[in-house]
Amino acid sequence: MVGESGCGKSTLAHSILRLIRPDSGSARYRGRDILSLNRTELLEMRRKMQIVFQDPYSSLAPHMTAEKLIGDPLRVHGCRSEASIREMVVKLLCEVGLDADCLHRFPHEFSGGQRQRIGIARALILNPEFVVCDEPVSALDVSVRAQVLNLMRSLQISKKLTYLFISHDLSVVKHISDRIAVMYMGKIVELADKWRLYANPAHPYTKGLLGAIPSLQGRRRGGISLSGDAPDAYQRPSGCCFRNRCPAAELVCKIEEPELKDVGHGHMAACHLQGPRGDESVPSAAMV
Amino acid sequence: MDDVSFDVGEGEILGVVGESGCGKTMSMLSVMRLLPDNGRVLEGSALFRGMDIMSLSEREMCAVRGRRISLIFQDPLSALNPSMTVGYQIMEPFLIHRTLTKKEAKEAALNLMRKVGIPSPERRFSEYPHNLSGGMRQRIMIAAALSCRPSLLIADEPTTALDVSIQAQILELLLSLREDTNMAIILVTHDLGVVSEVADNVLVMYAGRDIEYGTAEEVLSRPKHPYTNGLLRSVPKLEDDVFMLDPIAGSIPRACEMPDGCRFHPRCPSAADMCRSEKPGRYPGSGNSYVSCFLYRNV
Repeated sequence: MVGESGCGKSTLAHSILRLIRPDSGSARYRGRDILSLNRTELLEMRRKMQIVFQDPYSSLAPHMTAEKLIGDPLRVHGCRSEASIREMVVKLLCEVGLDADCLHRFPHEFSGGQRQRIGIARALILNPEFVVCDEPVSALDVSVRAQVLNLMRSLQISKKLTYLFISHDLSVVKHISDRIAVMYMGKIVELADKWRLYANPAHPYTKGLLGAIPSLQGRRRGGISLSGDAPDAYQRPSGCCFRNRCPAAELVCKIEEPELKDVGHGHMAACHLQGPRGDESVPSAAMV
Repeated sequence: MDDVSFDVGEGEILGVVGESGCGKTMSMLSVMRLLPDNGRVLEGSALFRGMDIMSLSEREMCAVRGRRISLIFQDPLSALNPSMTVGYQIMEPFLIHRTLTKKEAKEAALNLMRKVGIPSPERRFSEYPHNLSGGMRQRIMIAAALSCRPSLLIADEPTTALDVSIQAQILELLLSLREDTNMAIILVTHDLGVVSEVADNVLVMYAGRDIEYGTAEEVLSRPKHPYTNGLLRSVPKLEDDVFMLDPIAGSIPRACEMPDGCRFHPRCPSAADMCRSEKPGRYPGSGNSYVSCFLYRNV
């Protein structure tokens, strides 16, 4: 899930986990609507759905040791044997690349990268199926960021995890994801397989974003790819919320809000100017 | 900080890169003589057009800051005064350095706001920082920094707090300002992509030392120092697809426990015995470039 600050990525992630309660709508996990669960059902569901937060400095309680931080989810979920909690914590510490002698250390004794490893261990201790990673590497330095990304990838494979990986960094998202959703002003404007999205972005906002990434290939500077600022969330423009920054906006964009629709091969985009293209544009009724 | 040295010529953009805590900001604050109370310049000099800044009195220094050398910070929200209108903050340098009357200063400030791309400057003039977006605030900072036409602009992570699309706009603005005024810019950043796009020359810093210097093209496409090399390899690239990244092992040493010899040796894949005990010198490459690594001592 990629988008610029304030576009609603974290709010979306928190609503999915019901860390905040949406006004309307539903969030289905394996067919069950998370928003309609009662307390006990929700607690049970949270075992399977965990979150890693962005800031490893403020998301770890400073007065708790690594052992307590990582082991607490087990206690919350009813594990009573301190010996087996410790055993599981030690095993997981090794899996995330920390030593067992970290057990009794406090967050301030760890570096940023190590803290994020603790945050990851805490999310994985309950053996979840689905992990929301909310900007997990944004606060880390380049060299450490690569270590954590590698760790997240190998854990994903060894534990068969599903990630919802949120980031504002398009290169990181491309590296780790299979499918990518682009958000703008609280809406998903494009959703596609990563190869399709990067090779052939359909939404003008995605195109602009991709053009704005600084490249290591030296001076590219083909002018400004996205001009202006995202509008204030309280003053949403009528129709398409991107139209005031869009180089190709037409009258229809002002009147009607575009729906997220298939523009070919499962590539979804919310843009009036993208329809089923050219010769592929067989009306769906005719196909039936 | 230990024995850092660099220079920047007229109209040049020097990129200073390194991870957090490597001393980028502290070097810049030393040059501006704005080090925090727990920091001190023990030795060395900073020459600005032949004048040693370190030997100036505080009063003389005040005439340099904001007028001949300007500084912009990473976070415009905390660097701007929340209780003053943005217009006044742009005017302030004119008034402090007494170069213009109040009326002229207002006119000049409006011109600057236009120049840095603020829409409807007359209306924005009397607004406060919290009324503006991050990109707009950074433009205000740039306008204030440029008001007295400094010949050197030090930009400390000017785009780090901004979104990519706004970052591209601000970088474009810095490039066009350089074109117009021929001022020198020192751009401090941790983002190698930003350096690659705007800088002429690059200085790479690690743990309080400068370890590699050269043209942006040379350093980023043919890095010599194992740290620069590692840094470039740890960044996921849009162009290629690798399953696993190639990170640098370990983490940055803390300021209170700097390793002996080459400060990178505990993380370096090619560290030899010598690296553990001796400090590498600056070994020259083509042009003015140099690298501070024993691997290049006899090259």
